[in-house]
Amino acid sequence: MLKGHLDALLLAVLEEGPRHGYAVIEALRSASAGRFDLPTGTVYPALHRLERAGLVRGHWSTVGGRRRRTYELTSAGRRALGEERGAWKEFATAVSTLLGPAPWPAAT
Amino acid sequence: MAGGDLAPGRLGRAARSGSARAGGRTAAPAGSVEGYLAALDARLAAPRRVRAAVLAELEDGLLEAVAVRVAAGLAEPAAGAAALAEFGDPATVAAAFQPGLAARQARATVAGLLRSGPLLGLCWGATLLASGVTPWHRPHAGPLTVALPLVGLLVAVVWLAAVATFAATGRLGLSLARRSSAAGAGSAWQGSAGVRLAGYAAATAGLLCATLDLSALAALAWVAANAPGAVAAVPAAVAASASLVRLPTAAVASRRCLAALAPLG
Repeated sequence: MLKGHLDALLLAVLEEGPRHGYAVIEALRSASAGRFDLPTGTVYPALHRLERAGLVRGHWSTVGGRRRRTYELTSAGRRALGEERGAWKEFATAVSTLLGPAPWPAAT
Repeated sequence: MAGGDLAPGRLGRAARSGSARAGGRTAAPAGSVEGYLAALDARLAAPRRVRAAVLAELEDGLLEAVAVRVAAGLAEPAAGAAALAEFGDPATVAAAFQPGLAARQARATVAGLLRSGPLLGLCWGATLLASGVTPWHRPHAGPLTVALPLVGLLVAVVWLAAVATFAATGRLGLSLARRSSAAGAGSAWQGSAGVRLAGYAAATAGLLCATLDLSALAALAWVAANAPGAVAAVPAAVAASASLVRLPTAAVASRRCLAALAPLG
């Protein structure tokens, strides 16, 4: 379910502040209430792709003797996130309208 | 896949990239994480430095995933196994990385050619001018009348390939891939069609540039053998040296582009 919208979700996670790969994965997991079922390793190439697209920016640091790559949203990334939000809102509104309201339970 | 530093199965690589850091490892089943990274390293078709950077980033994430589980009370072997299982099997993760690696290789190849091309053009052009060959006076008209337009054509093709590479893998190409993936277009979520185009275009550009270098060197050798006085020695030596450096570089880059595309199937 999340695969097609992974990019938008990653941008949304990074909107809250710079994060490294594992922190992004954890944020996705907690925000999706455990429904995030992609192999966590595939988040990294998605982040790299966003970086190549200029939507996020990555930099290296050293933490606990390890090299860590941290990503932050760029202004282009913020704009793209805004567009994705708008597109999702339209989509959700359209589907809700089409599906109609849930029937109320009958009173006994 | 071809040999050289792209050969899969050389497990020493990942161990070296893992041990390149000074101490400070958190308690982790280093064996299984390093084994996993080695398995991944063997599947990635990219130059050594690129692979090392990818593995360093993944190692950080994996070790943290293990440490978090250990802190939550899991025993080390179980924590390691759980972290690795959640990460995904090496084949899946490698397949997710490969299109990006191929795109990166294509762009780097073309960027290098665009930097070296004009320089080499200048060197060989200077050689022709210093040897008395100008648009107005061509002492050895025959072969040059055919050769120079051909060179111009090949250079134009290289430029076209460069444009195709950047377009297919640049911001425009990536945003198109994102839109098609959001619309649910199957495996296009990595934009792999664009990556293939870029990879083949870059490989072609590299091959054409290597061919141009080879042809220039061959022509110089022929002239030097048959009419030694006809060519200006110093500019020719400079141009020849430049081509001798660029020729294998372009050929290797071209091969790397193809090698990076191979796992994409």
